Amino acid sequence: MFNGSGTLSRTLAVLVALFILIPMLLVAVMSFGQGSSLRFPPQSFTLDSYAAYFKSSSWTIPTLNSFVIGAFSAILALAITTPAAFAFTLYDFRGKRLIRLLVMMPLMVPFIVMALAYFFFFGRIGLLNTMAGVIIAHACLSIPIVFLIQSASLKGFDWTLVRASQACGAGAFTTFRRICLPILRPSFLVAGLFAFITSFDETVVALFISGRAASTLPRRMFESVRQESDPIVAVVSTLLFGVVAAVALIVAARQRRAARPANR
Amino acid sequence: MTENDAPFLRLDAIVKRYPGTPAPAVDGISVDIQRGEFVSLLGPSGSGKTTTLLMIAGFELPSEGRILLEGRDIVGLPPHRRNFGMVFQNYALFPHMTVAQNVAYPLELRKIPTAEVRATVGRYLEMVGLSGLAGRRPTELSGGQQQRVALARALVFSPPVVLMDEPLGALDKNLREQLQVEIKELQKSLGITLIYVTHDQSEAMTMSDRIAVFNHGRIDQIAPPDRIYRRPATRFVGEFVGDSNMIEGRAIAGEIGLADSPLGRITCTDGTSVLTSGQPVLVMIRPELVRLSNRPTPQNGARLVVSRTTNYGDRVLVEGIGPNDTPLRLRVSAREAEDCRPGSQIDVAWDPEDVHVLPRSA
Ligand SMILES: Nc1ncnc2c1ncn2[C@@H]1O[C@H](COP(=O)(O)OP(=O)(O)OP(=O)(O)O)[C@@H](O)[C@H]1O
Ligand SMILES: [Mg+2]
Repeated sequence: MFNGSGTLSRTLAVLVALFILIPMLLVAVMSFGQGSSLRFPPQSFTLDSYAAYFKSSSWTIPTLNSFVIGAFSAILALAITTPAAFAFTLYDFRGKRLIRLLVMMPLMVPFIVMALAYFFFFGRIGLLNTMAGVIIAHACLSIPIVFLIQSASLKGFDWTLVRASQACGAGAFTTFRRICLPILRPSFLVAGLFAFITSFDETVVALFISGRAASTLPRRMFESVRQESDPIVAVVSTLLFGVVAAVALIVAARQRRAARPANR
Repeated sequence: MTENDAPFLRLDAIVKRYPGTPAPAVDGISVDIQRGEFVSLLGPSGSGKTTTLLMIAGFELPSEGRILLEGRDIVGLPPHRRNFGMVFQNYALFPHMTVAQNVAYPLELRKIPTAEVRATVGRYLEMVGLSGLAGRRPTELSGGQQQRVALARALVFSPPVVLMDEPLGALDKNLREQLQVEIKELQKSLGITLIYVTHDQSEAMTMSDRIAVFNHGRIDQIAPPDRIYRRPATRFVGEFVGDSNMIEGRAIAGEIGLADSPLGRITCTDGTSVLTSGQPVLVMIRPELVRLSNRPTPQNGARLVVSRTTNYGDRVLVEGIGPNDTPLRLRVSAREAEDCRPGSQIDVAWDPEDVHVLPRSA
């Protein structure tokens, strides 16, 4: 089955890819349709909906919100998780397993439960319907994935490099800045990217707590589908898919370059 | 004691207990090391060599005792303030830096001007034979080349003391021998004080000014290589370093340098002070110092029945059984070994000068 030519596995891979891609392609085709409602197949093809998207502030503001919330929640998650990941890798302490469980909690608790909790809690402390509230909530949601990625990269880190650096005359801070950080940066960036994506496509919590003022893109899309059945939703989906595909291709290309032996 | 006649580096009754372990990893070590000296820490796995080195480097704190550099206690100094060079077994090169950047790192940390850094790095890379590879990444180098970079990085800031923990342990035999010579020559020409951990006795023998033999967290003996080899202080040292025959005997009352043993009377010229009357002693004779003899000898010799021969190419190890079922080993040339078929009888002899005597308790 897993023979050298790999014809079967290649066929399977293509089928799986098609299975995932076809709905996306349908949406992409719809985004070029004419008229004010979603229809498949479209009667004729235009870029009207694209123009409408970029002109309508009811779409561009949530888009901007999503980018800002995504970026800041990623930074916040990294800031919280980096020291924790170091501590978990380097030290043994009482209650380590319990705390690890707590850190992983957002992965296990249903988002709707988290959303309700944030809704009541943030209502009390005045964070409901604010950007800050969404940023904090999203940072919490992405902590498990960030923690897992960072822990994995720290586990693979060669800690004798720290001793080597100290033996060269570097104190703890210089060692962190000049040795640990540059070596760990790529995987920390990946962790941050995952946090960003977690925030960017999170809908449930955003629906509960983002309100009008801090409305995110998924929330806006959700409302649009329910109320207007506007073809702009298809435009947004297509754009998002295009961006994600581009990022994935860039990462893949960089990885391929890194795997190749460097030129002498 | 004034600072001037203080030893360069002194370990003073160092003890290290790791939390949660019953026996101390290092159990009361005292050593004086002179400036420019090459001292090897030799011993079996788990005997405390690395722990000792890490305490000198400052990565572990001694539970007891002091470490004095030119009379000053340095126990409180963190590793990066001790100014010691260090080479690790797994090279520990910084993967995101080129060869030249790795070697320049200690100099940059010391705020040396760029032009001087470049010149010094160039000089040290040439010293370790890597001038052409300055721009490469560590992953693009062979193991031997990587360890040369690590060597240059440890030496480039002219540290007063350089510490190495089995630096050649990961290399194959030929490369290891080549680098042994290079390290020794660098150490001599630069006048470095070098503390070198190894469990390879031949490495310790060929490179060191003195060898400290570790045994369960203690130093059984610290002495020049030939003394360690010919006059081991304990049975452990004699058996750990090189091959040996250990024969249990007893000093003869009223005689100087004479011991009774299952192989008959053995005379010796050294270590006679341990031979007080009736004392149980251990007589050590190195197999290569036992020779075939064409006639039986009343003293310092025996008649053996050969039980086994093993050919090592350059020499042949002959194992035989002497009087009172006492085993004895000797090394002979391949031609001599032709007379030593298993089962045959041979006469062997040794010189009193080559006999070493220890108290049996040691
Ligand atoms: N961090 C540590 N925590 C607890 N025990 C340790 C630690 N490091 C070493 N030990 C113990 O201390 C003893 C001495 O270890 P050490 O590493 O100094 O030996 P070594 O002579 O360097 O051995 P090897 O030749 O295997 O490197 C061993 O019994 C080891 O298990
Ligand atoms: Mg060791």
